[in-house]
Amino acid sequence: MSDYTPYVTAVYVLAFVILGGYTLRWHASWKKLQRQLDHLDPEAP
Amino acid sequence: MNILKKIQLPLGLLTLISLAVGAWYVYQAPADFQQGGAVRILYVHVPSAKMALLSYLFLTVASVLYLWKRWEGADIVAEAATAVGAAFTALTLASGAIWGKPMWGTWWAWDARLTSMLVLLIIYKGLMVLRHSLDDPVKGARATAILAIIGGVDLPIIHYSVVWWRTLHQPPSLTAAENSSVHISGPLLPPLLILSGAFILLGLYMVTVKARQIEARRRLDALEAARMHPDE
Amino acid sequence: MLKAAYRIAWKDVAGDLRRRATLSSMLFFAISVLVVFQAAFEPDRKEAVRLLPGLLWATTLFTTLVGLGRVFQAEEEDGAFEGLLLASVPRGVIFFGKWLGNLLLTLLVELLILPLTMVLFNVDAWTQVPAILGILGLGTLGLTGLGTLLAAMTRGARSRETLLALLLLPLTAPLLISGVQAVAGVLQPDGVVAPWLKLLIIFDLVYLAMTPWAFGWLVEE
Repeated sequence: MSDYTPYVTAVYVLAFVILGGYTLRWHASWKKLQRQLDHLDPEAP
Repeated sequence: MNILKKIQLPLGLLTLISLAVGAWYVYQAPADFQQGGAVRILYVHVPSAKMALLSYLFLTVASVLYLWKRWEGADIVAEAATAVGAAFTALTLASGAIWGKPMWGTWWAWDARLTSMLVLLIIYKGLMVLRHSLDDPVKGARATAILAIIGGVDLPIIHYSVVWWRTLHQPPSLTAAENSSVHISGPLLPPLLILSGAFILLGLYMVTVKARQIEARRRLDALEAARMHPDE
Repeated sequence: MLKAAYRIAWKDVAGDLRRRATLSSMLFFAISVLVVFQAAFEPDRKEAVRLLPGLLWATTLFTTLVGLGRVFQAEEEDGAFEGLLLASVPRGVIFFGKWLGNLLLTLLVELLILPLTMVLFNVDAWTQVPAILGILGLGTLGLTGLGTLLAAMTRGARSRETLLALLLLPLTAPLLISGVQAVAGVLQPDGVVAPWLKLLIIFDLVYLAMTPWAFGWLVEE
């Protein structure tokens, strides 16, 4: 069983990096855009 | 897009809880007698592959809705689903390769499922590139929606042609190894089911995050276009 | 109705035959692909028979891309595409005409490169030429149908040739697989051909049914 540990670990790390990474990146990008929007057009909802 | 704002937080919390429960079950799951601990890779690989295909289904439905009803919201959801689907497809390919190394002895085999997944990734990429290489955003959206529908019809044909091709050519040892190892049953099943559910929630959550980002970007682009050409 | 389609196709084909622009660039592109394959693999006679189906289809696919890059070129240069759309012909007919023109040119190129490939790679299968041409032609129906739609789709896009390849190649995976297997089946004495032909026909039917409709959606204002 221990033979597989590096492979299993790699997959879980990768899952976290790909899925978590994109989610966080999109979220950060949205926040930045939203700030710009608020600055440009403070009246909008 | 107000609805996205409302569902985003509860959806995110639900996703986190279900992922945590899934992780706990994976931690507790016994090792498979045939493939030992490597079965834990499948707990990520299989739900991820399901999401890669489910995202495409979602994308096709959104594209049909966009062409039919011309809702911009459907187009934003379609664009978001493309990005999410591509992320899951990439994860499926990477985890499949990492699983293949200990089980098959090679990183990559031209196995039917891996080959279809690779083609799917290229189609996702093509959809993303097409949208951004046309200057008129409405034309880009319409072309992308049409291509997504064509890809949706083509995917089953691609899958069956690859299956026929591989089953007629594959060395028997590989087929046998594949059949014995992808089969999951008994005590190995609960973590797989829970993680599949958790990945569906995660996919939906990712779509909401990406959709809000796209919507903000489009609004910003529109504002800037209006500022550049105030007379229009 | 069909007359209009034939006129569009004929204008493209005859115009091209007069200037030999697309035809000759497709042909010379195909020859250079063959030279690249020869230099890359250096097959002996036995290997050449095994490689021939793949060589033919890969060359056809790459050569089609060259032809497709020019399907709407004439209209683009003089801005006549919008005029074509304004003409009192249904969009499906315009698509059919464009497709037919591209199909004829591609078939003509295939007709020329098949013997050329066999000569250059020393494959002695002259009795199978009609069967191979039939398979190539069958696959080309759907290939050019899908290709013409994608050419319309990428009209005016940035770096459209690359984009066209990126979009066309993955979608033609079934065509490439079944086409290669069918030609390989013809070349071997006990080869299997029928299931692959069926797959080719399915591919053709799906694309020829879908693309005129999709073209209508695409150009709608």
